[in-house]
Amino acid sequence: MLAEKWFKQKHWKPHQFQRETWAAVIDGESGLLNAPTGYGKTYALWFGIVEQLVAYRQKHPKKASHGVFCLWITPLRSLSQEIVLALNRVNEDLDLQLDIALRTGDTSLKERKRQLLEHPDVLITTPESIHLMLAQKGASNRLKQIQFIVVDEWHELLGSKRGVLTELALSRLKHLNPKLQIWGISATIGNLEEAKQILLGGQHNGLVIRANLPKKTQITTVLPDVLEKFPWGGHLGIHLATKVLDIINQSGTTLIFTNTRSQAEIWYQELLKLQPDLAGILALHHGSLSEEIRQWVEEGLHKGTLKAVVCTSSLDLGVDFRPVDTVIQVGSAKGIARFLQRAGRSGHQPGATSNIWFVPTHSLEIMEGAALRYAEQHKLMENRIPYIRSFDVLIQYLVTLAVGDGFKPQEIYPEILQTHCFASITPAEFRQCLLLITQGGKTLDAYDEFHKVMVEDGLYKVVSRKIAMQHRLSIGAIVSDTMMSVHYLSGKYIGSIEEWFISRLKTGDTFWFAGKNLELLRVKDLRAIVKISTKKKGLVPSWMGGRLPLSTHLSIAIRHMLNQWQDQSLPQEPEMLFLAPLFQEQEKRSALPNGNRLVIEKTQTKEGFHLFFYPFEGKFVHEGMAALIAHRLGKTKAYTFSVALNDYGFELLSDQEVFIEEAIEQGLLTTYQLSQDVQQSVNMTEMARKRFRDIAGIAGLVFQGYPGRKIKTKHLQANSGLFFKVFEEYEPDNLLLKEAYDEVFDFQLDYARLQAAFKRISTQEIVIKHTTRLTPFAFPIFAESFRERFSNEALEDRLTKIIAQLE
Amino acid sequence: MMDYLPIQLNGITVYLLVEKCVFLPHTHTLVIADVHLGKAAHFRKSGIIIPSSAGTQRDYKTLHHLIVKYNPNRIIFLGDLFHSIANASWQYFLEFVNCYPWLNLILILGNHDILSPTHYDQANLLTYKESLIEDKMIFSHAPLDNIPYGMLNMAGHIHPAASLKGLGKQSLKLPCFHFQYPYFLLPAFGSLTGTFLLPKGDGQQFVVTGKVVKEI
Repeated sequence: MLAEKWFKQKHWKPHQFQRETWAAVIDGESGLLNAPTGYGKTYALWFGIVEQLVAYRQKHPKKASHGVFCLWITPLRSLSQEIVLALNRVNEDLDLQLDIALRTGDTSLKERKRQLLEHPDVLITTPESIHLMLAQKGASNRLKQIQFIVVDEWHELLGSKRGVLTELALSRLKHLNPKLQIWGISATIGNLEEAKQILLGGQHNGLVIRANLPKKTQITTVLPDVLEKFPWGGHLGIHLATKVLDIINQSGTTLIFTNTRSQAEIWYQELLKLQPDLAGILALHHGSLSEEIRQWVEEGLHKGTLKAVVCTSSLDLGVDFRPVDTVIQVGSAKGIARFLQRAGRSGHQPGATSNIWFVPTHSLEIMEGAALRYAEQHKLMENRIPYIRSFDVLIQYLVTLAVGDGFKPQEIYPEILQTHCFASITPAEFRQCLLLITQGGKTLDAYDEFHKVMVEDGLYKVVSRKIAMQHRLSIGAIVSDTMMSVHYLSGKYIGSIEEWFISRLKTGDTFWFAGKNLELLRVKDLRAIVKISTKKKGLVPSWMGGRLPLSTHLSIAIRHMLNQWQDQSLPQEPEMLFLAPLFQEQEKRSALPNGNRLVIEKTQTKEGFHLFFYPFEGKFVHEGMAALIAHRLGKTKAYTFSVALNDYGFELLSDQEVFIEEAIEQGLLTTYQLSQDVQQSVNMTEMARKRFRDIAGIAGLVFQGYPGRKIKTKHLQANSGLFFKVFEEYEPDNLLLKEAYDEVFDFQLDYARLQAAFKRISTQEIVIKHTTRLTPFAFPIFAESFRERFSNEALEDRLTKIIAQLE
Repeated sequence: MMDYLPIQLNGITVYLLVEKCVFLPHTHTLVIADVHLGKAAHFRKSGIIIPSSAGTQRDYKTLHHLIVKYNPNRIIFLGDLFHSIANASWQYFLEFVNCYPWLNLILILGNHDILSPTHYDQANLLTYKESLIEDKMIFSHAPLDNIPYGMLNMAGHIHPAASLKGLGKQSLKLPCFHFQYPYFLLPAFGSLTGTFLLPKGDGQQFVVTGKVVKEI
């Protein structure tokens, strides 16, 4: 066996899971491999595939019949590069003379042409690139040659619409070659079995192989010297910068993860300010920086020339950096999987310990260190929730097929029914999708000239080359804001920033970006020209995002820590012991919330009447709960509430007193008519409008134009808000519109979790405290700058009111 | 509730209509900016999914309604009457025009008006390239530079909207008429148009809600 030979050559011993995997592959099985990075998961699959590949080539020696044998799908381009290197290592060591090629958005036209003619044995690619292949003429003939598919980092794709793209591509490839073998590689998630089912699709069994390697993770919370001086609220965590520097200085190479790009920029500046000799060996890495800068940083990490890098989720995935031995997480990681994934970026040599430091940004957050350790020890792990019924992706896919070889609905419909995402699509709904791409929906217009997909002899295809080209350019499931590229006077590209941020600046204003203070010189088209400023002050772009809620499982872990604290016979974690004075203060002023009782605090300040609730369910659920409670209270009396929330609790502030005991007795917190009340209480339309932005982009309603070319597309541009308005008015039963509302319900409001929270509360003791001062638990919520106002008034009424206020 | 707001501009009485256009009573003229007819049809012809009736039905309905209500002698379209290159929905405009043979139709060409002269002839549209000057009023599509003292430039193109902030951090964005001497800008008439947030500055703004016009 090739594997044995290679491992012997290297004087390595394969892991048990590697042997199991390649045996299963050779047996013709499909399945999912669960293994951590750095333990040879790539080789576990690769040797099985190589064995198959060599045998297959011997059986089919004629060069003409050759096609691509294996597609290796990864979510990231940087990861693709790494896979090419790994596979080629074996290729060269064993002199297999395989053609291993890369196909991403960056691949040159020349290389693409070569690939079409020469059919590499292995093609490493992304979900989007497969759809691009499906959109070529002759796609079916080429793709049916594929015998093997690997989906790397499947857990990353699973909870996104890129996962849906993958499901659809697989459904087609499986049909083209019923013997296709499919393998996924996934980090540990709560729903591995489901992840496997979704990957393989209906009627497939397949195996889950778990590496089960003992992985040691050392989680340490960076504690302030004195609790009393540590802030009760806040998000930056900059108070602990000197302690972070101590850790950096004592380590080899450190990755410092922050939750947002602006936080990364601020930390980078702060660390340099406190220790100027870090200049040149401290770097910044986030998704808005140019590829060139990021690659420079990544290279520095590989070579060990950088001491530390401040980064965001941009370094969550991908290549291992051997020199990294320490990871620091600033602020809540929001989820266990995310935290452990980041921890795993250090100490990935087999047997090594991953070291991660947790830097809290306010007092109560210190608890999360203990909760994360508990979760890690008890293997609590979040599920990845897959998208279902994503009509936007389906419509894109159908047009993709029509651009390629064309499709027959009676062939495609049963295929998509085999996917998890579209298993519940009715024939009527499928017909609506077909109607949308052929007639642009229902139409009674005498002069209509809708032109997209044509039907000829039952074959659905795109005839217009212009439409085909536009469609190829918009394949994908990631919709981004309009970005403005930032350049120096010399033309050198630094990175890109959302247009709306730049548009608020005047020339001469300065802002921090890429770790430098930049002065805006001028804006031309979508380019911002800047020069380095010597000023000390500048704005920091605040990017959207970073508003992830605390995960279900991390919430459970935090509630558990609070429960454990209340049982003083149990041993306590250092974080909890450190917080003891704060907990005592909370007890003194009110009561300590935990997993068995819901604490509600009622306080009056000069601002009005406050109600604080502490369900520990994460922001999104709190938002839904607050809206629901406001709505239910409003049924008996007119109220206006200002609402603030964080991951631990929420606050309702009103100018009138709420008799909360009475309200609870009358069913304020029951699950009775929950769904109905939720739908009435939150501003679904507004939320759906926001969701519709991505849906319109994916379904091809909003055409972004041709990159780098000034072809006239201006007359085809309209923002998604306009489309939303038009559909609401003229086609309220449109599938894409319904999808927007469903996504609000399932993801934004996270209805399932909201319902579970109310169920839990209905079994709990409810403790109502009338407090005279804000408590340690109340303060961080009270201090949240972002507030929402809930009222059930219609837009027209709001309008009249505002206009009346203006007079 | 009044469905128009009379104001004085350069000594001329001007009605600001809730239908997002202007009526000049002394010359019995409707002034309408940025209708963008045929926009949905243009999108659809390029394969973009949008209901075919979007915009069209409502815009023609409003036009018919305005003619009945104000009985104008003429309509001045301040540019961007038709959204793009010709498509079959031009037929709807011809049908509309045929209903009112006595009506004088004037179009100041805007950047979107790229139809051939034959199209305009067919519809009895008298076109002006840049502007039409009458008394103290200059009608144009985009606002013009160097307006002579004492003259007023009535223009479209911008699609102005105003932002309103109410109590309790509420905010609303509404299309508006924007007056800042010597410019008087009209909101876009077409229901399938976007808006551009224009700060009030030293000017005056009149927001339109569909039911009411109010100065803010």
